[in-house]
Amino acid sequence: MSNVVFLFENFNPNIRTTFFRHKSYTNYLGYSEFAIKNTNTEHGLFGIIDKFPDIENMKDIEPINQHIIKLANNKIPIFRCTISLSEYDAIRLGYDSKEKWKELFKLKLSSFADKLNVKYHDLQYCRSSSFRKWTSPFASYDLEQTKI
Amino acid sequence: MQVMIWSKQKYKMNYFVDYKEVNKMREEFTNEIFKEDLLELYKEKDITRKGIITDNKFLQEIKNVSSNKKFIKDILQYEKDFNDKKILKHNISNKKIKLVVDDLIKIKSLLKQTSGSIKYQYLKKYPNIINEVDNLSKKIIELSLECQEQVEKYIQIKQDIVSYKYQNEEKIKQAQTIEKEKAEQEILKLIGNQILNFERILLNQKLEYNQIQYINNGRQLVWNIFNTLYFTTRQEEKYLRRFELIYKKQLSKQAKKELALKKRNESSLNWEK
Repeated sequence: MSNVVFLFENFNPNIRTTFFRHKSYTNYLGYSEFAIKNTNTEHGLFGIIDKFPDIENMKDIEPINQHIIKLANNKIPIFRCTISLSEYDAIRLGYDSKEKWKELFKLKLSSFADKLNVKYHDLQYCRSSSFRKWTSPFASYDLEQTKI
Repeated sequence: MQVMIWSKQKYKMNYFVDYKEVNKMREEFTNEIFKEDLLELYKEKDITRKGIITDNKFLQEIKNVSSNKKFIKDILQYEKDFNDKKILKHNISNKKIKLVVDDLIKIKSLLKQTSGSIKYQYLKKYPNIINEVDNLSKKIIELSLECQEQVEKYIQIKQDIVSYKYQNEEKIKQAQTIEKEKAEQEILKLIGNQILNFERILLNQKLEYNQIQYINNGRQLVWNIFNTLYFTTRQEEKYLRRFELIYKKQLSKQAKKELALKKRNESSLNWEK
Protein backbone atom coordinates (compact mmCIF):
# COMPACT_ATOMS: atom_id res chain seq x y z
CA MET A 1 0.00 0.00 0.00
CA SER A 2 1.58 3.31 -1.04
CA ASN A 3 0.68 6.69 0.33
CA VAL A 4 -1.47 9.41 -1.15
CA VAL A 5 0.32 12.53 -2.41
CA PHE A 6 -1.45 15.47 -0.81
CA LEU A 7 -0.22 19.00 -1.52
CA PHE A 8 -1.90 21.97 0.06
CA GLU A 9 -0.79 25.46 -0.92
CA ASN A 10 -1.51 28.78 0.79
CA PHE A 11 -0.91 32.08 -1.02
CA ASN A 12 -0.48 35.41 0.69
CA PRO A 13 -3.01 37.68 -1.09
CA ASN A 14 -1.06 40.81 -0.13
CA ILE A 15 1.92 39.81 -2.28
CA ARG A 16 1.75 40.98 -5.90
CA THR A 17 2.89 37.69 -7.47
CA THR A 18 -0.11 35.74 -6.14
CA PHE A 19 -2.41 37.59 -8.53
CA PHE A 20 -0.42 36.33 -11.53
CA ARG A 21 -0.39 32.83 -10.12
CA HIS A 22 -4.19 32.69 -9.97
CA LYS A 23 -4.71 34.54 -13.23
CA SER A 24 -4.11 31.69 -15.65
CA TYR A 25 -4.71 28.75 -13.34
CA THR A 26 -8.39 28.18 -14.27
CA ASN A 27 -7.48 27.88 -17.94
CA TYR A 28 -4.77 25.40 -17.00
CA LEU A 29 -7.26 23.34 -14.96
CA GLY A 30 -9.84 23.29 -17.71
CA TYR A 31 -7.77 22.86 -20.86
CA SER A 32 -4.77 20.88 -19.59
CA GLU A 33 -3.89 18.03 -21.95
CA PHE A 34 -3.97 15.55 -19.03
CA ALA A 35 -7.40 16.66 -17.71
CA ILE A 36 -10.30 14.23 -18.09
CA LYS A 37 -12.69 16.24 -20.27
CA ASN A 38 -16.44 16.52 -19.69
CA THR A 39 -18.66 14.60 -22.10
CA ASN A 40 -20.39 17.63 -23.68
CA THR A 41 -17.58 20.18 -23.56
CA GLU A 42 -13.91 20.65 -24.39
CA HIS A 43 -12.84 21.52 -20.87
CA GLY A 44 -12.69 19.37 -17.73
CA LEU A 45 -13.85 21.85 -15.07
CA PHE A 46 -16.56 21.13 -12.51
CA GLY A 47 -17.46 22.41 -9.06
CA ILE A 48 -19.72 24.73 -7.09
CA ILE A 49 -19.77 28.48 -7.74
CA ASP A 50 -22.90 30.49 -6.91
CA LYS A 51 -22.76 32.65 -10.06
CA PHE A 52 -22.37 29.67 -12.40
CA PRO A 53 -24.77 26.89 -11.41
CA ASP A 54 -23.97 24.48 -14.27
CA ILE A 55 -20.24 24.49 -14.86
CA GLU A 56 -20.02 21.05 -16.41
CA ASN A 57 -22.19 22.04 -19.38
CA MET A 58 -20.69 25.50 -19.94
CA LYS A 59 -19.00 25.66 -23.33
CA ASP A 60 -16.72 28.61 -22.54
CA ILE A 61 -14.98 29.02 -19.18
CA GLU A 62 -13.79 32.58 -19.73
CA PRO A 63 -16.45 34.09 -17.35
CA ILE A 64 -15.19 31.77 -14.60
CA ASN A 65 -11.65 32.87 -15.33
CA GLN A 66 -12.71 36.52 -15.09
CA HIS A 67 -14.54 35.81 -11.79
CA ILE A 68 -11.40 34.31 -10.26
CA ILE A 69 -9.25 37.19 -11.55
CA LYS A 70 -11.65 39.56 -9.80
CA LEU A 71 -11.33 37.55 -6.58
CA ALA A 72 -7.54 37.64 -6.80
CA ASN A 73 -7.63 41.38 -7.45
CA ASN A 74 -9.79 41.90 -4.35
CA LYS A 75 -7.20 40.00 -2.28
CA ILE A 76 -9.46 37.12 -1.29
CA PRO A 77 -7.42 34.12 -0.12
CA ILE A 78 -7.53 31.20 -2.55
CA PHE A 79 -6.18 27.76 -1.60
CA ARG A 80 -4.93 25.06 -3.93
CA CYS A 81 -4.96 21.37 -3.26
CA THR A 82 -3.66 18.45 -5.32
CA ILE A 83 -4.42 14.89 -4.42
CA SER A 84 -2.91 12.07 -6.45
CA LEU A 85 -2.42 8.34 -6.37
CA SER A 86 0.01 6.01 -8.04
CA GLU A 87 -1.23 4.45 -11.27
CA TYR A 88 -1.36 0.97 -9.79
CA ASP A 89 -3.49 2.05 -6.81
CA ALA A 90 -5.73 4.31 -8.90
CA ILE A 91 -6.70 1.48 -11.25
CA ARG A 92 -6.96 -1.09 -8.44
CA LEU A 93 -9.24 1.05 -6.24
CA GLY A 94 -11.26 2.54 -9.11
CA TYR A 95 -9.97 6.11 -8.89
CA ASP A 96 -9.37 6.34 -12.62
CA SER A 97 -12.80 7.87 -13.26
CA LYS A 98 -14.05 11.36 -12.53
CA GLU A 99 -17.12 10.28 -10.62
CA LYS A 100 -15.16 8.38 -7.97
CA TRP A 101 -13.10 11.51 -7.21
CA LYS A 102 -16.34 13.54 -7.06
CA GLU A 103 -17.78 11.19 -4.43
CA LEU A 104 -14.60 11.32 -2.36
CA PHE A 105 -14.42 15.11 -2.41
CA LYS A 106 -18.09 15.48 -1.52
CA LEU A 107 -17.59 13.19 1.49
CA LYS A 108 -14.68 15.22 2.80
CA LEU A 109 -15.97 18.71 1.95
CA SER A 110 -17.42 19.34 5.41
CA SER A 111 -14.12 18.48 7.12
CA PHE A 112 -12.32 20.73 4.58
CA ALA A 113 -14.58 23.62 5.60
CA ASP A 114 -13.96 22.87 9.25
CA LYS A 115 -10.18 22.90 8.87
CA LEU A 116 -10.14 26.06 6.74
CA ASN A 117 -12.34 27.74 9.37
CA VAL A 118 -15.04 28.50 6.78
CA LYS A 119 -18.78 27.84 6.95
CA TYR A 120 -19.85 24.86 4.84
CA HIS A 121 -22.38 26.80 2.71
CA ASP A 122 -19.82 29.57 2.06
CA LEU A 123 -17.29 27.21 0.50
CA GLN A 124 -16.72 27.60 -3.26
CA TYR A 125 -14.50 25.44 -5.43
CA CYS A 126 -13.70 24.43 -8.99
CA ARG A 127 -11.60 21.47 -9.95
CA SER A 128 -10.61 18.96 -12.54
CA SER A 129 -9.28 15.44 -12.40
CA SER A 130 -6.39 14.34 -14.58
CA PHE A 131 -4.58 11.17 -15.40
CA ARG A 132 -0.79 11.01 -15.73
CA LYS A 133 1.99 8.47 -15.46
CA TRP A 134 4.26 8.20 -12.43
CA THR A 135 8.00 8.40 -12.85
CA SER A 136 9.16 8.52 -9.24
CA PRO A 137 7.30 8.15 -5.96
CA PHE A 138 8.11 11.76 -5.05
CA ALA A 139 5.29 13.62 -6.78
CA SER A 140 7.10 14.42 -10.03
CA TYR A 141 5.15 13.83 -13.21
CA ASP A 142 5.99 12.49 -16.60
CA LEU A 143 4.50 14.47 -19.42
CA GLU A 144 3.40 11.46 -21.44
CA GLN A 145 -0.28 10.81 -21.41
CA THR A 146 -1.51 7.29 -20.90
CA LYS A 147 -4.61 5.82 -22.34
CA ILE A 148 -7.37 4.88 -19.94
CA MET B 1 -7.24 15.79 -8.76
CA GLN B 2 -6.52 19.53 -8.56
CA VAL B 3 -8.80 21.91 -6.70
CA MET B 4 -9.08 25.66 -6.15
CA ILE B 5 -10.96 26.59 -2.99
CA TRP B 6 -12.14 29.94 -1.65
CA SER B 7 -14.90 31.34 0.51
CA LYS B 8 -17.71 33.72 -0.46
CA GLN B 9 -17.94 35.18 3.04
CA LYS B 10 -17.45 38.95 3.29
CA TYR B 11 -15.50 39.21 6.52
CA LYS B 12 -11.73 38.83 6.44
CA MET B 13 -10.28 35.36 6.91
CA ASN B 14 -6.84 33.97 7.53
CA TYR B 15 -4.99 32.86 4.40
CA PHE B 16 -2.63 30.50 6.25
CA VAL B 17 -3.68 27.01 7.28
CA ASP B 18 -1.67 25.30 10.00
CA TYR B 19 0.47 22.28 9.08
CA LYS B 20 -1.29 20.19 11.72
CA GLU B 21 -4.63 20.75 10.01
CA VAL B 22 -3.14 19.89 6.61
CA ASN B 23 -1.73 16.66 8.01
CA LYS B 24 -5.13 15.80 9.44
CA MET B 25 -6.71 16.31 6.02
CA ARG B 26 -4.08 14.09 4.44
CA GLU B 27 -4.80 11.35 6.99
CA GLU B 28 -8.53 11.57 6.35
CA PHE B 29 -8.07 11.20 2.60
CA THR B 30 -5.68 8.26 2.89
CA ASN B 31 -8.01 6.47 5.29
CA GLU B 32 -10.94 7.00 2.96
CA ILE B 33 -9.10 5.92 -0.22
CA PHE B 34 -7.49 2.82 1.27
CA LYS B 35 -10.57 1.84 3.25
CA GLU B 36 -10.95 -1.57 1.63
CA ASP B 37 -7.30 -2.49 2.15
CA LEU B 38 -7.44 -1.36 5.76
CA LEU B 39 -10.54 -3.47 6.49
CA GLU B 40 -8.66 -6.60 5.47
CA LEU B 41 -5.69 -5.55 7.58
CA TYR B 42 -7.91 -4.99 10.63
CA LYS B 43 -9.39 -8.47 10.21
CA GLU B 44 -5.92 -10.01 10.11
CA LYS B 45 -4.96 -8.01 13.16
CA ASP B 46 -7.98 -9.27 15.10
CA ILE B 47 -7.24 -12.87 14.22
CA THR B 48 -3.57 -12.58 15.26
CA ARG B 49 -4.51 -10.84 18.51
CA LYS B 50 -6.91 -13.63 19.41
CA GLY B 51 -4.17 -16.12 18.63
CA ILE B 52 -1.72 -14.32 20.90
CA ILE B 53 -4.12 -14.46 23.85
CA THR B 54 -5.11 -18.10 23.44
CA ASP B 55 -1.54 -19.35 22.84
CA ASN B 56 0.22 -17.36 25.55
CA LYS B 57 0.22 -19.23 28.88
CA PHE B 58 1.27 -16.23 30.96
CA LEU B 59 -1.71 -14.17 29.78
CA GLN B 60 -4.06 -17.06 30.53
CA GLU B 61 -2.67 -17.24 34.08
CA ILE B 62 -3.24 -13.53 34.58
CA LYS B 63 -6.82 -13.97 33.43
CA ASN B 64 -7.41 -16.64 36.06
CA VAL B 65 -5.96 -14.60 38.92
CA SER B 66 -9.32 -13.94 40.57
CA SER B 67 -9.92 -17.68 41.02
CA ASN B 68 -6.39 -18.39 42.28
CA LYS B 69 -6.65 -18.65 46.08
CA LYS B 70 -2.95 -18.56 46.79
CA PHE B 71 -2.44 -15.32 44.92
CA ILE B 72 -5.36 -13.64 46.72
CA LYS B 73 -3.99 -14.79 50.09
CA ASP B 74 -0.58 -13.28 49.32
CA ILE B 75 -2.11 -9.95 48.32
CA LEU B 76 -4.28 -9.84 51.45
CA GLN B 77 -1.23 -10.56 53.59
CA TYR B 78 0.60 -7.69 51.94
CA GLU B 79 -2.33 -5.37 52.60
CA LYS B 80 -2.43 -6.43 56.25
CA ASP B 81 1.27 -5.72 56.68
CA PHE B 82 0.82 -2.34 55.06
CA ASN B 83 -1.99 -1.46 57.48
CA ASP B 84 -0.02 -2.63 60.48
CA LYS B 85 3.07 -0.65 59.64
CA LYS B 86 1.89 2.62 58.27
CA ILE B 87 -1.45 3.65 59.69
CA LEU B 88 -2.66 3.49 63.29
CA LYS B 89 -4.76 0.57 64.43
CA HIS B 90 -8.46 1.15 64.67
CA ASN B 91 -9.54 -1.66 66.95
CA ILE B 92 -11.94 0.13 69.26
CA SER B 93 -14.96 -1.48 70.91
CA ASN B 94 -18.51 -0.22 70.42
CA LYS B 95 -18.83 0.64 74.13
CA LYS B 96 -16.02 3.18 73.92
CA ILE B 97 -17.47 4.72 70.79
CA LYS B 98 -20.88 5.01 72.46
CA LEU B 99 -19.32 7.31 75.05
CA VAL B 100 -17.94 9.48 72.24
CA VAL B 101 -21.34 9.55 70.53
CA ASP B 102 -23.07 10.66 73.74
CA ASP B 103 -20.73 13.63 73.96
CA LEU B 104 -21.30 14.42 70.28
CA ILE B 105 -25.07 14.59 70.86
CA LYS B 106 -24.55 16.82 73.89
CA ILE B 107 -22.42 19.26 71.85
CA LYS B 108 -25.06 19.21 69.10
CA SER B 109 -27.74 20.40 71.53
CA LEU B 110 -25.41 23.17 72.77
CA LEU B 111 -24.55 24.30 69.23
CA LYS B 112 -28.24 24.88 68.43
CA GLN B 113 -28.25 27.85 70.82
CA THR B 114 -25.27 29.56 69.08
CA SER B 115 -25.18 31.82 66.04
CA GLY B 116 -22.48 32.30 63.40
CA SER B 117 -20.14 29.86 61.73
CA ILE B 118 -19.27 26.61 63.48
CA LYS B 119 -15.48 26.70 63.70
CA TYR B 120 -13.12 26.29 66.63
CA GLN B 121 -11.65 29.76 66.40
CA TYR B 122 -15.02 31.53 66.16
CA LEU B 123 -16.61 29.48 68.93
CA LYS B 124 -14.16 30.82 71.50
CA LYS B 125 -16.91 33.29 72.43
CA TYR B 126 -18.65 30.34 74.07
CA PRO B 127 -16.09 28.82 76.49
CA ASN B 128 -18.71 26.35 77.62
CA ILE B 129 -18.79 24.63 74.24
CA ILE B 130 -15.04 24.83 73.71
CA ASN B 131 -14.47 23.03 77.05
CA GLU B 132 -16.81 20.25 75.97
CA VAL B 133 -15.03 19.89 72.60
CA ASP B 134 -11.62 19.82 74.28
CA ASN B 135 -12.76 17.13 76.72
CA LEU B 136 -14.05 15.04 73.84
CA SER B 137 -10.81 15.38 71.88
CA LYS B 138 -8.82 14.33 74.96
CA LYS B 139 -11.09 11.31 75.30
CA ILE B 140 -10.46 10.35 71.67
CA ILE B 141 -6.70 10.62 72.17
CA GLU B 142 -6.94 8.34 75.21
CA LEU B 143 -8.74 5.69 73.18
CA SER B 144 -5.54 4.26 71.72
CA LEU B 145 -1.98 4.09 72.98
CA GLU B 146 -0.50 4.61 69.54
CA CYS B 147 -2.41 7.84 69.16
CA GLN B 148 -0.97 9.09 72.46
CA GLU B 149 2.49 8.16 71.21
CA GLN B 150 2.00 10.18 68.06
CA VAL B 151 0.87 13.22 70.05
CA GLU B 152 3.93 12.99 72.31
CA LYS B 153 6.17 12.64 69.29
CA TYR B 154 4.57 15.73 67.75
CA ILE B 155 5.25 17.78 70.88
CA GLN B 156 8.82 16.46 71.10
CA ILE B 157 9.51 17.44 67.49
CA LYS B 158 8.19 20.95 68.07
CA GLN B 159 10.46 21.27 71.13
CA ASP B 160 13.47 20.02 69.15
CA ILE B 161 12.89 22.58 66.43
CA VAL B 162 12.81 25.39 69.00
CA SER B 163 16.08 24.22 70.59
CA TYR B 164 18.01 25.19 67.43
CA LYS B 165 17.01 28.81 67.86
CA TYR B 166 18.95 29.47 71.13
CA GLN B 167 22.34 28.57 72.58
CA ASN B 168 21.67 29.36 76.23
CA GLU B 169 20.16 26.31 77.99
CA GLU B 170 17.83 28.29 80.25
CA LYS B 171 16.35 30.07 77.29
CA ILE B 172 15.93 26.75 75.53
CA LYS B 173 14.00 25.31 78.48
CA GLN B 174 11.72 28.34 78.65
CA ALA B 175 11.03 28.19 74.92
CA GLN B 176 10.34 24.47 75.11
CA THR B 177 7.70 24.87 77.83
CA ILE B 178 5.97 27.58 75.80
CA GLU B 179 6.18 25.42 72.67
CA LYS B 180 4.66 22.43 74.48
CA GLU B 181 1.57 24.44 75.42
CA LYS B 182 1.31 25.75 71.87
CA ALA B 183 1.57 22.26 70.36
CA GLU B 184 -1.09 20.90 72.71
CA GLN B 185 -3.41 23.72 71.73
CA GLU B 186 -2.70 23.09 68.04
CA ILE B 187 -3.64 19.45 68.39
CA LEU B 188 -6.82 20.31 70.29
CA LYS B 189 -7.72 22.79 67.57
CA LEU B 190 -7.01 20.25 64.82
CA ILE B 191 -9.20 17.59 66.44
CA GLY B 192 -11.84 20.13 67.49
CA ASN B 193 -12.31 21.39 63.95
CA GLN B 194 -12.87 17.84 62.73
CA ILE B 195 -15.47 17.24 65.43
CA LEU B 196 -17.21 20.51 64.56
CA ASN B 197 -17.27 19.59 60.87
CA PHE B 198 -19.06 16.41 61.84
CA GLU B 199 -21.46 18.40 64.00
CA ARG B 200 -22.24 20.73 61.11
CA ILE B 201 -23.30 17.76 58.98
CA LEU B 202 -25.52 16.53 61.83
CA LEU B 203 -27.19 19.94 62.22
CA ASN B 204 -27.90 20.28 58.49
CA GLN B 205 -29.48 16.83 58.30
CA LYS B 206 -33.29 16.83 58.44
CA LEU B 207 -33.76 13.20 59.51
CA GLU B 208 -32.19 12.13 62.79
CA TYR B 209 -29.70 9.26 62.88
CA ASN B 210 -30.35 5.82 64.38
CA GLN B 211 -28.06 4.62 67.12
CA ILE B 212 -26.33 2.28 64.65
CA GLN B 213 -25.76 5.11 62.18
CA TYR B 214 -24.39 7.26 64.99
CA ILE B 215 -21.93 4.55 66.00
CA ASN B 216 -20.78 3.91 62.42
CA ASN B 217 -20.26 7.58 61.68
CA GLY B 218 -18.62 8.16 65.05
CA ARG B 219 -16.20 5.33 64.33
CA GLN B 220 -15.34 6.93 61.01
CA LEU B 221 -14.71 10.27 62.72
CA VAL B 222 -12.31 8.64 65.18
CA TRP B 223 -10.44 6.96 62.31
CA ASN B 224 -10.15 10.23 60.46
CA ILE B 225 -8.71 11.92 63.54
CA PHE B 226 -6.15 9.15 64.03
CA ASN B 227 -5.03 9.38 60.42
CA THR B 228 -4.67 13.16 60.48
CA LEU B 229 -2.60 12.96 63.66
CA TYR B 230 -0.35 10.34 62.07
CA PHE B 231 0.23 12.36 58.92
CA THR B 232 0.80 15.67 60.71
CA THR B 233 3.53 14.07 62.84
CA ARG B 234 5.17 12.62 59.71
CA GLN B 235 5.17 16.07 58.16
CA GLU B 236 6.73 17.61 61.25
CA GLU B 237 9.39 14.90 61.20
CA LYS B 238 10.34 15.92 57.68
CA TYR B 239 10.49 19.54 58.80
CA LEU B 240 12.80 18.62 61.68
CA ARG B 241 15.13 16.70 59.37
CA ARG B 242 15.45 19.77 57.19
CA PHE B 243 16.26 21.88 60.27
CA GLU B 244 18.95 19.42 61.31
CA LEU B 245 20.54 19.57 57.89
CA ILE B 246 20.65 23.35 57.97
CA TYR B 247 21.76 24.02 61.59
CA LYS B 248 24.02 21.06 62.29
CA LYS B 249 25.45 21.33 58.78
CA GLN B 250 24.99 17.64 58.16
CA LEU B 251 25.46 16.36 54.65
CA SER B 252 22.56 14.86 52.75
CA LYS B 253 22.61 11.18 51.72
CA GLN B 254 23.63 11.95 48.15
CA ALA B 255 26.40 14.33 49.27
CA LYS B 256 27.78 11.66 51.64
CA LYS B 257 27.87 9.15 48.78
CA GLU B 258 29.68 11.57 46.51
CA LEU B 259 32.25 12.39 49.23
CA ALA B 260 32.92 8.69 49.79
CA LEU B 261 33.43 8.18 46.06
CA LYS B 262 35.88 11.09 45.96
CA LYS B 263 37.95 9.78 48.88
CA ARG B 264 37.94 6.22 47.59
CA ASN B 265 41.43 6.44 46.02
CA GLU B 266 43.04 8.79 48.54
CA SER B 267 46.17 7.63 50.35
CA SER B 268 46.21 7.41 54.14
CA LEU B 269 49.30 9.68 54.33
CA ASN B 270 48.73 13.37 54.76
CA TRP B 271 51.42 14.96 52.53
CA GLU B 272 50.97 18.51 53.81
CA LYS B 273 52.49 17.65 57.16
